[in-house]
Amino acid sequence: MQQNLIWFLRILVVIQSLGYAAKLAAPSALNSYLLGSMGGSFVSGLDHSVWLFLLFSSAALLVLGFLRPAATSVLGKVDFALLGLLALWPFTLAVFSFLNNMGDAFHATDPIGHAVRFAAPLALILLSFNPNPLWQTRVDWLLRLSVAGAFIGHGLCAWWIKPSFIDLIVGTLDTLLGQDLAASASRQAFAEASLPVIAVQDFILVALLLLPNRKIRTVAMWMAIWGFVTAMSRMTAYGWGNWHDLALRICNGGIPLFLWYSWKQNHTDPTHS
Amino acid sequence: MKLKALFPLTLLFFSSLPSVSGEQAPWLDKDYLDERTRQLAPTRTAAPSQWRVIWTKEPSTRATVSWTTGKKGSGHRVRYGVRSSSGPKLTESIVPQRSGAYSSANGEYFHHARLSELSPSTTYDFQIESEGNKSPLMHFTTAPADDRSFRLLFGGDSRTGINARGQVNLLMADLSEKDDELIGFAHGGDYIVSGRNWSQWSTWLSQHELTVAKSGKVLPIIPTRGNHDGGPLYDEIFDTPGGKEKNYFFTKISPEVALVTLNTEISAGGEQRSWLAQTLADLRPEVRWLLAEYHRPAWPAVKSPGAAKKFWVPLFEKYNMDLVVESDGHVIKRTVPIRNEKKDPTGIVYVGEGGLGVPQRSPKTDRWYLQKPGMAGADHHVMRITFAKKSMDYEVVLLDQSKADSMTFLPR
Repeated sequence: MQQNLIWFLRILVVIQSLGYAAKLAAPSALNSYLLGSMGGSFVSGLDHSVWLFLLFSSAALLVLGFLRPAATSVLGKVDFALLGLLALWPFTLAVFSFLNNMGDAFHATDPIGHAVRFAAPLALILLSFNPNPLWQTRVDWLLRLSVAGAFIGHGLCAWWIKPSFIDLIVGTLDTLLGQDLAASASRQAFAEASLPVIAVQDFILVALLLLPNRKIRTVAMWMAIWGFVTAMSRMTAYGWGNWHDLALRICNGGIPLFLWYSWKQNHTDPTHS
Repeated sequence: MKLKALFPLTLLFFSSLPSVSGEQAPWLDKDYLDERTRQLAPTRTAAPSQWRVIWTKEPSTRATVSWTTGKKGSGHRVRYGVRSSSGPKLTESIVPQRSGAYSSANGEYFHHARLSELSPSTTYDFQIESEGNKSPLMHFTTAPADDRSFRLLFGGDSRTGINARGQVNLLMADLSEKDDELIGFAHGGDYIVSGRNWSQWSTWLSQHELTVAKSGKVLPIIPTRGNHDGGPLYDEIFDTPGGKEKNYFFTKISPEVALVTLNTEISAGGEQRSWLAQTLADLRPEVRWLLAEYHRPAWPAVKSPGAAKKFWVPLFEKYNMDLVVESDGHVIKRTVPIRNEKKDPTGIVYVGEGGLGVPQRSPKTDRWYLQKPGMAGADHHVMRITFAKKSMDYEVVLLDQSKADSMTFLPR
């Protein structure tokens, strides 16, 4: 695996971590879950500690990326541990988001819909510490499955016409076309008509992505563009102040782009078998 | 020397405080709360239980009396009549227009009897009957059709902290008992943790009986859907306020007071925004006090702003809302007046954030809109608002009946 690809993955994880840190201006799902049993002070302290950790880890990951420590060295183990924890945090949030909202179909998709967020640091661990080509194949499938999870999770929400998705489309149309109160209802109708189509597109892309023995770069690129566009919609709908909502979803487009580039490299690499 | 002489008196004063507090707020005593909880009506029988009165539109002439039975039954009715000094005269009778099984329940049924053509500012006695079993005699007062002053309670987030929820309910009953001008209660949503869980709703509904004063006075509830209230049970419990898949509506409580209830759990920017713009344009010239209530805050004291900030706040500012009530954060807050994302004396004040029993968080007191003259704190609470000709008085009442915050608003 080329170092530039590993660097790309590392930067995705750093951006995502900064997004999660900024998101902690609001209580985390873990905070909400523990509030009743642990009390407000404890959960606030917990979120603050995680916030500090995320900021520290983001900086440390960049430094360690430059240093490229050996896996068996102390710094290598630190890198390993930081990435492990950065995979654990999105996974924890997805699970507790589900637990906090038992019975809510939209939140039930979080553990699969957020799969790229915890798969990205895991992939980085595996690639950094296992240069074996066999592991590269496994990582490739780990990332393909995580992208599939993200598209299935978001596709299901689109199919069920998640209200916040309607507002992302309506808000973006407001930004692009200008706010028009008389058009609000028709823009909602447009969004409600579009979302099932988007869902079907998501499911078709997943099917194509998971075809065995096939690596269709066009599909990966399409998913990358769509992943970035939908992540960006948090800002096009609600403004630049919501940059963290794009940052913590950076892997939605970033991981398909990683796959596209990785497949492109393999395709053009004469040494690739 | 004088200070030393005062010491025993000081000690006596402070040692007497708990007992005074106990008399004023007996619900703080767990045994009292347990005893009152034991007296709640059983739910698995043919007899009525979990009674509530619901207001949505036209509360001066309409109200919905709702209840639960543990068997389907066929003989359900509400007998009611204007309260008189010579005792209850339940001259009218109505059968529920809507009954059915609660979704995912264990055989419990809801019943909604929609009373209409009521007289404004009139106290009605009522009694619910199911299969010959009678509820206690209760009463509620309709909203005024004139410009007299009255009070409403506001609050949200009763989803966890079941003991504290019972305590707040008993506080509301006490406030209601002592105050004839207090006529209703607007709940800001998040009644329970999981909106599809009948068991949680059933506990909430039974505990809601604690808001009934000892005299039988019921505070009609104006419901708001919260993010934990998803699923069909909300509509089955509150008779689909505002219409199916909408749950937004306005309540013209008097000729001079209107409350717009919005739904943050559906699209904020689409049809609801168009409706809000038209509703505010219609109501603003008509009423002196124009309020809005919804669950997820535009100006949160803890979380991130919801879609309300982008889609509704410009309308609130355009139509000069007098007060906006929010929930969801589990704190107490009152913002500075806000216009164009800045403190502005002509701006809109946002209050609330939810304390009907839910464990409280620490508010983010560094947010600019919570600085003085705004405030933020944390405690179980209910808000009480008095609507009068010359002013609108806002207070936050804590479990021990002390006041955590207050503000007087003048007509715009």
